Amino acid sequence: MVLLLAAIIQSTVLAHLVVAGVKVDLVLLLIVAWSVRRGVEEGIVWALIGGVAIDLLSVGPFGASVIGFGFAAVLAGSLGPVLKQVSVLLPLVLTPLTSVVASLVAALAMAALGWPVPWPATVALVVLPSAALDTLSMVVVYPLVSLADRRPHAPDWSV
Amino acid sequence: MLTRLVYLVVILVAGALILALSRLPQVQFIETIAFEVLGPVEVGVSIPAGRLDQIGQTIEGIGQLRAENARLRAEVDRLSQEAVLLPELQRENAELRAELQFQQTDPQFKWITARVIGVDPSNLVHSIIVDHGSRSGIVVGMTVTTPGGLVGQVVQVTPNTAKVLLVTDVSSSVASLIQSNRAKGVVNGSRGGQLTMTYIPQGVKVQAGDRVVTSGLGGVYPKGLWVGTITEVHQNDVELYQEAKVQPAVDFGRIEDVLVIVNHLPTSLH
Repeated sequence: MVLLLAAIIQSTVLAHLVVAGVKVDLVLLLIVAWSVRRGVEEGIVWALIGGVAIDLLSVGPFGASVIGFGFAAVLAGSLGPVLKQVSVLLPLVLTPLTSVVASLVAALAMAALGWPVPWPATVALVVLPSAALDTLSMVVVYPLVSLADRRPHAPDWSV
Repeated sequence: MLTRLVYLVVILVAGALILALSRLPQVQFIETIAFEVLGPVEVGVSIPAGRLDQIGQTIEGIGQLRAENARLRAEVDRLSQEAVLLPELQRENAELRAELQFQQTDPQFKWITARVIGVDPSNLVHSIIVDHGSRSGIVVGMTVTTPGGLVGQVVQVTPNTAKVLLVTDVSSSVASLIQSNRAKGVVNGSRGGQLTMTYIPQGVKVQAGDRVVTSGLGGVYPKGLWVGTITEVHQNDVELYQEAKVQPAVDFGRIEDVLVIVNHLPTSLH
C-alpha cells in the first residue's frame, strides 16, 4: 500500500517538482532503503510491488520497472550490510549506483521490446540527472524509512 | 556470491516473463482494470498537487498588493474571498476564450475537455493521465491538444481515465510541415522535452521563428494543429535533408486541461 501511494505521489505531487527535466523516483528510493535495512529477499518483494505500481501508471512497457527495481534491490540488499556501519555514506554511495542501474536496466528492457532509446541522450539527460536528484532526496527518505522500520531486523546478509 | 547470482537470474527470468506476458490480451485486460482502480485515487491526490503552482503565482503578487494595502484594509474580508476566487475565474475566462477562438479557427473539431490528473512516474517516457475515458467516448488513437498547440495521442483508455503519449516522447512522430514554405518533415520527440524536425528537403529556406503545424499526412493527426516553433536549423549541403530543433507550442510543465478531439481518428483505426 505504501508503494502504491508512493507511485501515485510520484505521478501527481512530485510531477510539480521537476529538476533538470527529471522527477524524484520516490518508489525506487523506498525500495533501496528497505533493501538496505531488510536484505535482498524483502527488497525483491518491494521491487516487484513498486515496479508493478509504476508500470500501471506509465505508458512504458509493463515489467520494465519491475526488472529495473529488482536489480536495484539486489544491489542495495547486498552492499547495504557492508556500508551500514557508516550510515552517512550509505545514501551517498548506494543511491546513485542503484538509480543508474535501475534506469539503465529499465531502458534496456524498453529497447529489447522495440522502444526507441537514444542511449547518449538517455544517459546524459535522464540517467545521470535522475541519479543526482535521487541521491539528494535519499538524505530525507532514508531516515524516514529507518524510523518506520521498527521490527527486529532479519539476519544479516553475509557476503 | 552464488546466491546473489541466483537472485539476479530469478529477477531476469521473472522480468522477461512479465514483459512477454504483458502483450497477451488477457494480461492487458487485467492491467486496464487495475489502472481503472487507481484512477479515482489519482484524481483525489492531483487536486492538492495542482495548488503548488497557484501558491507560487500568489507569492509573486505580494509585492504589488503591499502598495495597495491601505485601501484594501477597509475591504479585507471581501477581497480575501476574491483573491481566492479571482485567479480561478480569470483562468477559466482565459481558457474559455481560447477554446472559443480554437472553435472558430477549426470549427470541424468536436472535443471533450479533460483535466490532467497525473504524469508518467517514469523519467524514461513522457505521458500524462487525464480524467476522462471510454465512458466519455474517448478511444485509443484520438488526438489531444490545447488551444495553444498539439499535446499528443491517446494510447490507453479505461472507463474513466486515459493515458496520453506526449509529442515530446522519443517514440512520438508527427507528420508536419513548415507553415511559411509548406516544406514537409517529421517531428520527433527527444530527451530533454524538446522536438526535432527531420527530413526537411534541402533547398528549402528554413529559419528560426518558422511555425510548424501538423500536415495531416498519414492520417494520424488532423491537419493544421500547431506543433511548435523552429529555434535552430542544421543544414549541410552533403546531406540529403535538413534538420531543425523545434520549441514545443505547449508548455508541458504547466498543462492543466486538454482537449481530446473526438471526431477524428487515425485512418489506420477506421
